[in-house]
Amino acid sequence: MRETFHKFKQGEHFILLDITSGGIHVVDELIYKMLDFVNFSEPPFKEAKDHPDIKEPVCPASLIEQFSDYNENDVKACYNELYEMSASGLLSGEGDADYGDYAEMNIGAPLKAMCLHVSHDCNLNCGYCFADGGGFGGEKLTMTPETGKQAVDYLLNNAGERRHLEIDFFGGEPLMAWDTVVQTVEYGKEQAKERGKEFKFTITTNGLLLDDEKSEYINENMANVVLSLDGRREVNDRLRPCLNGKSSYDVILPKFKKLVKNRTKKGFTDYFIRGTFTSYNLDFAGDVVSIAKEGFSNISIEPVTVPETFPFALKKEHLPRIKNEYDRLFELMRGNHGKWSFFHFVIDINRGPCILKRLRGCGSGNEYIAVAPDGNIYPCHRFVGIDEWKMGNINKSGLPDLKIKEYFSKTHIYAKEKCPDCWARFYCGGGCNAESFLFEGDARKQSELFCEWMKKRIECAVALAVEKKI
Amino acid sequence: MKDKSFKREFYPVKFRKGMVIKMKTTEKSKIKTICGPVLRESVRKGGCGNCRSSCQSACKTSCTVANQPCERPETGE
Ligand code: SF4
Ligand code: SF4
Repeated sequence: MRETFHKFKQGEHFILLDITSGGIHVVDELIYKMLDFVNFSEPPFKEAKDHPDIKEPVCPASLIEQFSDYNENDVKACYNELYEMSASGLLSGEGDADYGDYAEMNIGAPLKAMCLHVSHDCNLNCGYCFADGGGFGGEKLTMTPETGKQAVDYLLNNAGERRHLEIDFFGGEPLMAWDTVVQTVEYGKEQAKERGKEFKFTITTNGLLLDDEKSEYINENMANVVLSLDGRREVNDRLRPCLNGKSSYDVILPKFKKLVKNRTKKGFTDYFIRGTFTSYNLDFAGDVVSIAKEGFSNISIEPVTVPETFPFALKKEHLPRIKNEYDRLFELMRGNHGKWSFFHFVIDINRGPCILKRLRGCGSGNEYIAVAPDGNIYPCHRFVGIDEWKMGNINKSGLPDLKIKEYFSKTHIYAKEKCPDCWARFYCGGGCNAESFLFEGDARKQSELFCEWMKKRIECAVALAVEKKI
Repeated sequence: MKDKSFKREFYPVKFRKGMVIKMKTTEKSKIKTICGPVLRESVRKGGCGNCRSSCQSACKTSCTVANQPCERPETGE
């Protein structure tokens, strides 16, 4: 059954989501319990909006009986409030059939973003790297500045009327191809000016090669920078050692601190310290705290995504522990007076994206593509190197594989296996297509693990946003 | 009968007693609406395409669609 409501308790808050309308309500405990016994698709609720004259529907005796250990007047009052909310349209319980009309509206959408794999090589030896040491299962390659510039042209030529475009420098380790990064950015800025567009550049780096000059350039030119660090020294160094096996933490931390300090001084707040947690550190809230103690405020620690055969893989049996840890982070974040934020718990409930955006949480292959060092195009960075998903090459003229583009443009929540019935569909947007393909063999089939931690994080995020408003 | 269920913090003191009387007004005491039907409203405006491309992959720190800001220029609408 397609869910129209979702209720949950987070901290001391009882929260009710009206999924289709986007409404968020805080209710008291009795209403929270009562929601299990009222059916909004049955009378009197069903007709509530059409009969504004019925001010006080009769509370069913069965309900009073059910809650006999509560004050009867309170039970009736709660029932009335639910009715009033329903009558005013604030608890619609409506289906979202009409949203489906918009689902296929962005077939053939122009390009918006590009991930440039400037280097398929890496100077760290992270145990969980999905890029297989940077090479994505292939040769260690570096993108030439010419290919970088061609990628800029390709994006501009396929961006249609879009004004805001994004290029993310990724790898392997992008600082190993610094010359390509700089030349591509400079060319991009020049071309954007000429063609009336705006680029947002971002870079994701392990920081090992950062020096003052590169940091300065990043702070001047990149709208966002993602700095990889797993948290506590021992956690970080266990799976992110240098190639010689030594600690990367001691080398990297001071560089990140300096970059962020200078960035903040310039008034730019967009950066992330981004780590990975594995079954080795299921107490990852400790890693968030450790990063916060080092003075960073934008923190993201993500679950590792490796096959179950890896010794540190996350499995179903870890889920209760992971959810508890998110609860712990929820408590830590609400008590930190805004000093730091955990990225997954940040949500603006009033100014989030429109419904069209929410039908698709992933732009892969449609408005977003990744370009490998040799110019080959893939639906996104996670598909890079997988032959069946190769969409073309930017060095060759002609359009990319439109079949793949069309497939992804139709991969919205209503096309996925579990999403149409999932309460989190308009928060999550349907998950990561690549992860679905890599773990479930089908880009439209989500893995249970992914969905479970996604839903838990959404609950925490909503509860924190709610807390700010009550 | 016990009245053990209510967290009183949302509703004004003057309504703590006589709830049923209060219910005849439109003010709610047991439900606090934090966010109205924003998604329904967004259907009316349609999409503008200015928002950032989203990626939910753990390797990119981009997460859910819901935590992205809407970038529609304010039109006073
Ligand atoms: S990917 Fe999972 S959590 Fe997200 S909407 Fe689909 S079923 Fe729900
Ligand atoms: S498939 Fe996954 S990794 Fe690729 S863009 Fe979509 S969400 Fe991101």
